[in-house]
Amino acid sequence: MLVPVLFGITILSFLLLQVMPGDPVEHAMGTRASAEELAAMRRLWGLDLPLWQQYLIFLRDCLTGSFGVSLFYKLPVSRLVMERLPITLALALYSTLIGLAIALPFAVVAALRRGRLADVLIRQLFVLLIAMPPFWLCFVLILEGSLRLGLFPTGGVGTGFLQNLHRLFLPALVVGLSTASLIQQSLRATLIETMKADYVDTARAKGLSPAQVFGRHILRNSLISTISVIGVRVSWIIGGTVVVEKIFAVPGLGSLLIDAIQSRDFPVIRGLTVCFAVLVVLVNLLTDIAYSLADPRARMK
Amino acid sequence: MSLLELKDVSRSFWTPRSLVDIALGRSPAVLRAVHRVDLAVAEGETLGIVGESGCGKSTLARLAVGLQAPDGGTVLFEGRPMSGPDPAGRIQMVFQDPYSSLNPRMTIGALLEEVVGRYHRELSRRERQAEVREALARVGLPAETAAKYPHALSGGQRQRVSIARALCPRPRILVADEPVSALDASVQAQIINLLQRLSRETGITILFISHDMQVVRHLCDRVAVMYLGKVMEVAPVEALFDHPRHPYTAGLMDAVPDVTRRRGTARQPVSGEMPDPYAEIRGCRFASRCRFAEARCAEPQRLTETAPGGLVRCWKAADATLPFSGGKTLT
Repeated sequence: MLVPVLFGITILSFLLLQVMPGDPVEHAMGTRASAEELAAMRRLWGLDLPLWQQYLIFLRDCLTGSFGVSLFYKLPVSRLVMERLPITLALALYSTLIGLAIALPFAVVAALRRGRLADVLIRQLFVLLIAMPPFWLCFVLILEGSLRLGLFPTGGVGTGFLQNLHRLFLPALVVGLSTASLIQQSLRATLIETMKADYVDTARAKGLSPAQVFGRHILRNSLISTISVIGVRVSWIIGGTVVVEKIFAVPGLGSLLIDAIQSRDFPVIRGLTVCFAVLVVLVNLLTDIAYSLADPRARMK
Repeated sequence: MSLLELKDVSRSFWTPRSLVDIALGRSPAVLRAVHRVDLAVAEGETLGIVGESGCGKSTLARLAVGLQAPDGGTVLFEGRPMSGPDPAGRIQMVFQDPYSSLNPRMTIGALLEEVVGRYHRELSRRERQAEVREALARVGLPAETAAKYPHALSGGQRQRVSIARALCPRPRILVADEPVSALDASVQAQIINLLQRLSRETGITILFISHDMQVVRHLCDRVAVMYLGKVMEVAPVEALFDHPRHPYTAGLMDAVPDVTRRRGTARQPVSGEMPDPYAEIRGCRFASRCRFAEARCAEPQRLTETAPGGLVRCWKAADATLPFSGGKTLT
């Protein structure tokens, strides 16, 4: 499964760059370079070779693990990625935990009071949250949390776990709020669905207390669906949080990709695309594993 | 004295109204699932409740267990009114669908241990597990079943688990809501025999809900026939099957295919559809489908005693010359 997907990704990312307007050579040399200088640069970067040769070189770089050398950083793409990957993963994990912590109590209250005022208010609140543009939310949080109250830095990353927990809080909160509204909506719906299940009647007929019925039979079974929501969300967060990364100056994979696209740094774009594909496949795999651990029916015989 | 008694018990359901309905001032439609039912269950007996789908059998079962509260009348257990499920677990329920009534994410052992722990807090983990093994043995399942998940079991095995679970708190009454209708015929017989054995050996009282007349005849001591939320006839099983006194009961019997039926005797099953359950019916609820309906049937009918232990809600039932009172001697 993994191998054909990745192979397809290498072809796609390679071909897409060929149709992308703009030329890294022109970008690097500026408009005043002569035709000879441009041609020399093109030869240096191997861009004068026939397409199939360029592709094979790219494939070789993928297989050796370097993913080529960045045109502008003059560093192997793999090194650039490895520098930023931990930050992106930390942001993904941190924001997901925040999202889960926010969504869980609201989903439970909304499901228990479905159709009532509390449910309606909570749903409106989360629709509002997901409708709010992240960049606006970022600015509000910076203005209030950083500049006015001085609780958090305006951006950047620090060193050490505790320092980053503090520094990454605002960006993680922005990403986590949309995660929260996704989880809240799906969990509320699943909870309501599960409450109607026959085995919940069985649990009540056993004489269990309402709290036991809810915690052990309704909530636990409903949380399994949240696993897949989180899986999808995490694969999106890896590389999908460009705006937040840019505003908070978080050097993650998303901002690396945008920089690379702006400067037409072909090897970096290609390398990142393949890297994202690997990560998405890995996250899916982890989701499946978590799913099978949580749901005995999904376990392989 | 009756062990469990339903006194003038009703339970209605309202269809939810949309904002448009509320704006237009429409009142919600009311479905009277169980309407002013009186029923007494005696200690040790197996009482069958039969009727077509939608007649209120399942709601009656849930009222009897306390899973649902009546909105009129009272349910008395040992002479005392019930509010919610019995805290000591003396009334237990077996559900219809063995595929959906067991939590798919808990092992059988965990499911049963949960019940044991609920009613015997003082037991250690080992003692609980011993109790679980004993509960499984009682319904003829091997001890290894405890480690399995519901999806690894067949329908019949799951229903045995359901019964084992229901028996864990040592209940006095077992309410079985169509416990075999989701099972294969051969497996049905096993479950029925299991219930029969339990009744004989432990003297447990069983409220057996079913739409299967044959099964009810085989298992029950007494039978109540329900139609559109009302009890139409109650009688000892032999009397009911030999001499059905209500036209609806007679029609239900005739709806059962019978290979031993004599040639030349015609079956007269109930024809037509049940009327709209939301409609308000003042008189006999069965009149719209009854072959013997007359003008007087538009008046409310009362349950009256026609034979010893037999109650019928039909003014004609007192008249022994009516053709349906002779059961299978129809011409």
